[in-house]
Amino acid sequence: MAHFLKVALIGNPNTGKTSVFNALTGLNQKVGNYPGITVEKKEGSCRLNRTTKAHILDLPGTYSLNASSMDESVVIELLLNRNNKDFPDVAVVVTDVENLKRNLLLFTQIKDLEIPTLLVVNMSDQMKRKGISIEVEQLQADLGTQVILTSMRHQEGVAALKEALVNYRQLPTTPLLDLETIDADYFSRLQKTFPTESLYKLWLVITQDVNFSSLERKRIQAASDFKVQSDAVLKRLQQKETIKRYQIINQTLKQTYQVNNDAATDLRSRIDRILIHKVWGYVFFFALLFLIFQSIFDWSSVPMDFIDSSFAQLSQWVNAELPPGLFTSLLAEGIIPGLGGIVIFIPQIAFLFLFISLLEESGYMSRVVFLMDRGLRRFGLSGKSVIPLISGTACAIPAVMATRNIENWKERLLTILVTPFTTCSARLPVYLILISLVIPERSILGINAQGLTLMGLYILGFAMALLSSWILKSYFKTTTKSYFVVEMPNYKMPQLKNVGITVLEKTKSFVTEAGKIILAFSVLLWLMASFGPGEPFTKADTIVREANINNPLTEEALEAEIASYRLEHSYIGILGKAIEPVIRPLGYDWKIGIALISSFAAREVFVGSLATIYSVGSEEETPIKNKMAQEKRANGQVVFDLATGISLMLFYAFSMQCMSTLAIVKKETNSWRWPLLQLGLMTVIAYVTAFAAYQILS
Amino acid sequence: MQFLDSLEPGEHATIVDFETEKLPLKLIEMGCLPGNKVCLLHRAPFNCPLYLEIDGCHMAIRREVASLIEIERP
Amino acid sequence: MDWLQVLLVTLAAFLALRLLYRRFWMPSKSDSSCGKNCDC
Repeated sequence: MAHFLKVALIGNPNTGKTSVFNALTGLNQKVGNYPGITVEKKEGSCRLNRTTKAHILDLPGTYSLNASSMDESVVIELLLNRNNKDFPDVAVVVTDVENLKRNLLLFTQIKDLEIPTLLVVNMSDQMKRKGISIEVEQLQADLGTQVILTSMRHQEGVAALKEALVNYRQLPTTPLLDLETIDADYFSRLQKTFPTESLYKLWLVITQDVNFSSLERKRIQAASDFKVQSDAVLKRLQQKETIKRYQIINQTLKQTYQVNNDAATDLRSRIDRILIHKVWGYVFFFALLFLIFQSIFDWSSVPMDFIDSSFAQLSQWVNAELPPGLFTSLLAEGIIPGLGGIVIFIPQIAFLFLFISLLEESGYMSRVVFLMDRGLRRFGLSGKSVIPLISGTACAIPAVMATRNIENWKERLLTILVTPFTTCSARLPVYLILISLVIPERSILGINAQGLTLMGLYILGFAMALLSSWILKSYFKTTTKSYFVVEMPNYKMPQLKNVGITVLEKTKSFVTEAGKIILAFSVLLWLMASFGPGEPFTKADTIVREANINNPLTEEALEAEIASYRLEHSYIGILGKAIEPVIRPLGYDWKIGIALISSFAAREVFVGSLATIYSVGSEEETPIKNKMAQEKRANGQVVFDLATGISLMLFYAFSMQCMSTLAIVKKETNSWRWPLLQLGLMTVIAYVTAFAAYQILS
Repeated sequence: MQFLDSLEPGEHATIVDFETEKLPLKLIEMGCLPGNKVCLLHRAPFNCPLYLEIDGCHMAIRREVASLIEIERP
Repeated sequence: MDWLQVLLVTLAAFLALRLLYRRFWMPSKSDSSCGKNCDC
């Protein structure tokens, strides 16, 4: 039987930790969440040799064990809890050869937890170019570990790492730093109180505000002869500890690590001179954004058209081939159009994640943070809000989670509150179908008018996010100083494998998560559209036929008339009719009302709902867009004209129609106040702007 | 006394001390320690944030934080 | 065959309701644990 070794990968951000993880596990990985919290949990498995397999956990990137965010807390919680099922047999600290000194800080902390620890020095292919030389033997002896030089770009060192993992029992577990050298009195008292515990572990339990098994913390605080000191004293000791650690590291590196500065090429400074230039930096950034959005729109149209018509054909096939009945109708009119509504925007999501992951992998994202900080602070945000705001174009949920590395609470809260204004991909199908219906396909100054409208909507989303943040910021008082530290990593050529895996994983999890909800809603919608109370629904056939008895209609037109009458008197029709008075001033009829109600839980349901609503009882399977274009009002005008189209787009741009985001905001802010404020504010803004647009345009 | 926010782009200095109470621990962990060399590489428009190299580590911090760090020019 | 179709539709409806219930109404654990260095 194969033995499973539990391995945890730990490291600073930007050290290529994910590359090491990908190299070890390949596609044998899955992304989930830590129980109860929304921190991403990446795990995978790999075979080390013939008899040993390893279970590998990729922990969130962290600079030290002094946690300043929830992601970092996860690392400490795991490493302090030997009873956790993921507690590693061996820890692998991944470092970047160029920033070895800073990376070793985390290494010394992990080592002091007395867990067998391996040191991976990654990106060793850079050594020659940067003029770096390392005395591996001496470094191993000084740090009490095994050092493995790797280069994931050239697939070097993976075999050595696997071998070292198998022999992890030979790694010494003696701590590197004697805490008593920081404050002899304090730490010896602490050790005397808990003679069986590791001193550094005790120290972390005291200083770190994370969810330890309640027992640990209580035991320490309840100890009668031991007083937990004030925060200021603790902070002082933490600073001293860090300084001591750097002394050890400096001493070690003095003999083992040489940098010949003359050999270091100044690629970084040459690229920086352009990319963070006072003018060209911004020009480059906005040009890049423009290019990204234009290409998302252009490149995805071919696969999207193909998906659209494929699903229409599938429905038709199901109707023709399966025995007629209730479930066949559910498949053809509910489930398949609903699924089509989500599958159709896979191409766009994939492109968006592709660009975001390229920006992050290359190191450019930090430059954007640097460039935008001053400007965004004017609106009460931080430079780091750029990442949530850009990620928000994919989905607000990961974007709200990405606010965690904003250090200042006020800036973080504002970012959380306004992020849902950015155009998430769930809005995309709504926009795309409306744009193709109401915006003519011609070009203005050589730019596709439809693409231009889409870009306008994205800009509108960002602008509204900034405006509302600017208005909201004066309502928050803050006494704390805003601090902000962002690492400026070196520029790197993005690795195809990493980018590919990110795009695949993110798209997959987005589609399954959103897909399930959409699917569930399409089933319910179909049910509510296929049943209704009382005679008008059940006897629709006779009622319509009698009403048209003197009216010579073709059988086909009569069928359509019946279907429409039946829908009107179904449960969902009654609901749509009920809200019609409220939405009529915005230019919407009751059918759109149904779509609005159903997309309250998730926007992307809109197109699926319309597809379901217009398919119920209809025999021919035309693409949804054509059905919408054919819709007429009572007076014969088309429903989806310019005024209604624009009004709908504005409504979707500003309204908070996403239960999942509200749930995440509640989780991240730990209060119902903020999600409710968000919901109220956004709904009012959406209604008012949609109302104004319709009244002016019609 | 001179502070980090007074550096001009391209200028080098040495960190002497900092305000222990206010300086975030994270900055110390990134290598902002007394005795370490610091160089201001770039300033964003309106002089904030500052792009620094401290002891071989590249980072950006805001002016207010930089004004807590005392330096000595060579 | 009709009863089979009705059965399948009922099953689909049940699964859909269960999924939505789990996604939106399940009581979620409160877990906002902030580090010492974060000023919330």
